[in-house]
Amino acid sequence: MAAQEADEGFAYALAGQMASAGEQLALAYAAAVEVAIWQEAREEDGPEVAREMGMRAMAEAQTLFVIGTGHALINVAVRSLSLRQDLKAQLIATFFRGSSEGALDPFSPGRSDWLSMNKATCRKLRKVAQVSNSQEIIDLVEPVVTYGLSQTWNQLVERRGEDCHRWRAQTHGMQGSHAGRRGIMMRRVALWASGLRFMRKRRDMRQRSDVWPTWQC
Amino acid sequence: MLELASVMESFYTAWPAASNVLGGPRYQVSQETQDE
Repeated sequence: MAAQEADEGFAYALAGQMASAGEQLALAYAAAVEVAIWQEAREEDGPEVAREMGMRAMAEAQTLFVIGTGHALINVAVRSLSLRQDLKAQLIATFFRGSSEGALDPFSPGRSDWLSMNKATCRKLRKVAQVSNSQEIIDLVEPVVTYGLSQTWNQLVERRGEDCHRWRAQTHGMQGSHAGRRGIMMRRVALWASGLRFMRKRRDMRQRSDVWPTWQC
Repeated sequence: MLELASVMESFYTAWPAASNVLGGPRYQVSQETQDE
């Protein structure tokens, strides 16, 4: 029916956002594979501390892409509902309270036009979907909203917030006799130095080795 | 991550029916793609 009503730029943007969300999930999976490889690494593959750092770096990359996928998905859901003009007006009224700060335009460079997956956003999106009186629209949005309100998602975001903005919890296996903040700090400095030595060693090995595959350089 | 993958799958499964209601683009999976 309303295929002609949909803004062409909007449809292109939406398709791009869907593809981007999928790619981010694939990147998260790639990082998960790297974590598994580090878990399988043996003593001769490198010092324990370097393996642990490598594994943690990949685990955090996985977290980054999972969170990116969640945010992308909520924006895909919002943009999907925006295809219908009455729902777009409802979304703008709900999220921006009628102010001009957001218009949900395709390819918008405005920060406020892109939403975060959080409890407030999910509740508002659910409300707009219910206003549509369309079971198809509710069915589309509900799994995304339920996930955004779930403990799984919110614990992940909370952990990321703590790691990035406050105090980064220690890696499992790194806790032990180093009690207190000073001990943790010293241990981290030692980890950093050890990792640096490991990377330098790998770089030197690469430079010396004529059998190192070129695609790894 | 697997839970999120499942959410994405649900979303894209519901998309064709919702797209008709929303007036969005209609995607058709070709027979060739299905065979792959």
